[in-house]
Amino acid sequence: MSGNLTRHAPYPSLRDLMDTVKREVKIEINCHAVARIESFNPEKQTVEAKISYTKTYYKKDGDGNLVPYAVAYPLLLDCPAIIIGGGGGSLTFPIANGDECLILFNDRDLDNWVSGSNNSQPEIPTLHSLSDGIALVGLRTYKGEPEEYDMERAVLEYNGAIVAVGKNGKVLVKNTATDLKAAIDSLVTALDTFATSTSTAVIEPTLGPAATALKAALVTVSTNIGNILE
Amino acid sequence: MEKFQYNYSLSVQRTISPALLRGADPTVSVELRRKFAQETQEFLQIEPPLTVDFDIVRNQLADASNSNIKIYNLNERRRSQILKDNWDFYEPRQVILQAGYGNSFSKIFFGNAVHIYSIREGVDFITEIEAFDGGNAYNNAEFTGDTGSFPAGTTYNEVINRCVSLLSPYGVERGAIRAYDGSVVKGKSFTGSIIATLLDLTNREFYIDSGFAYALRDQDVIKNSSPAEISSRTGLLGTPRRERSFVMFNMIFQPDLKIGDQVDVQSTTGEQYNGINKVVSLHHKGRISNSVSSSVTTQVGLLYHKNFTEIEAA
Repeated sequence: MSGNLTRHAPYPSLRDLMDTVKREVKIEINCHAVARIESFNPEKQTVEAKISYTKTYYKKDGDGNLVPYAVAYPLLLDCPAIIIGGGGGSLTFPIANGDECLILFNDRDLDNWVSGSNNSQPEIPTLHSLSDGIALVGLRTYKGEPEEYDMERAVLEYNGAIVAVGKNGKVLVKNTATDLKAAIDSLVTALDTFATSTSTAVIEPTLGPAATALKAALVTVSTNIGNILE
Repeated sequence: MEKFQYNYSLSVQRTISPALLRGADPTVSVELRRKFAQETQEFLQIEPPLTVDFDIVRNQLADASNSNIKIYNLNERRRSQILKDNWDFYEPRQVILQAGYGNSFSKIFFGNAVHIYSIREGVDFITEIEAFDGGNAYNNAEFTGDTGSFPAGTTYNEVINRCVSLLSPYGVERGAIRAYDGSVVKGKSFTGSIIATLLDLTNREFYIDSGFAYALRDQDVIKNSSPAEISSRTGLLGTPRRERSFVMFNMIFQPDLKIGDQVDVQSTTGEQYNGINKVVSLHHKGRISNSVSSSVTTQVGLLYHKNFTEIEAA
């Protein structure tokens, strides 16, 4: 890179100039950047994030050649985090330090908008400023989680607990200890065993028919649960 | 001010010698060598009887004020000492032109050279300097790391003051800066050009004049106790004329005006513009020489306004 800078034409053509201008424009526009979350404010639902790469500047070395050196971007402050939701409902996640995210730099200043205004001119006329970042959490590097991506289900997962909806329309609810279907199956089995023993016992004449009815109902319940839960 | 016997003093920072830049000791950083060079290297002083032409434009606009200065017949050694090509934009070479009458000088330009080169024209060697006011700051002053980070609640005055203070290493000091209302609602993280940020923060009211940073609205003027009188007695030439919202007129060289100053116009042929006005542009142009005829004029642009607010310079 330094070689390119030191070998520029002394009198650039219009084409060279326009190419340089185009490159300058692209360099100066902040569009979006990958970043790592340094802190999350659940009250304001904002993050502070650090861009995951550096800016490159040039300075002269002892021989007068321009050499590149890296400068860190500033910490991005108070970036509103996108919390999926609508109509009063929302889906929240426990955003944590170290999470990766994508910061989107708004076209205009966000100060008035974050204060609640939906129809005012920007407070200051900044354009694509680093100060106007919006965080989209969930971007991951190649080493990120989840380690095993489920291609058969839509999954909501946290700390080993899973709620998943499969292609077959069934719901899987489980954690590291058990799953809901197994727990309910156990309950049904226990009740069925109890009903079976009660229907044949001669303890109370009225219990026999009730236990028989319970057994029949348990078959229906079991079928219904099986239709919902994996 | 008695207006006769033009005089000037031009200071041009000498080039950092390639030998020094290469350095016998490679462990010495460029910054240290440059610092050493700046501390030990005197400015090249150019004074009469050498002839100089100059064309200096200063204004209250977002772009840098500029100057074009031509020096006639510097000797070869001095020409080589100040040579600078366009591409050395990391080498902020200062150019200071003071001019006036007799022994009374005013700084009419303070900036950084873009290029300095010499050519021969006929019997003359002409050394031409093109320089910009605050050129080093415009080119090189950028936020680094978290210097551009301001938490929520920081007032805009604090943000602007901090940004202006960051220009100091680039040769720009605080001048008159008006107060700006409000504070940062969400934290700000600025990067890139400090001056571009200052222009945004001040609604493009920021400018640099003679190495000082200003932020003034149209109706703001720099506080001074005695506005300069502009009349035929002090060198007013012709009749002031209005061009859009500006009032323009020519004067016999008036070196002590600066952008944002109040002046008291007393014209006998353009009385409608008489009174206190604000200087928004200055164009000094002419030649000072001991060997050929000298002539220097100043074109002054005023903003015609009725009620000015005085802002104190730092």
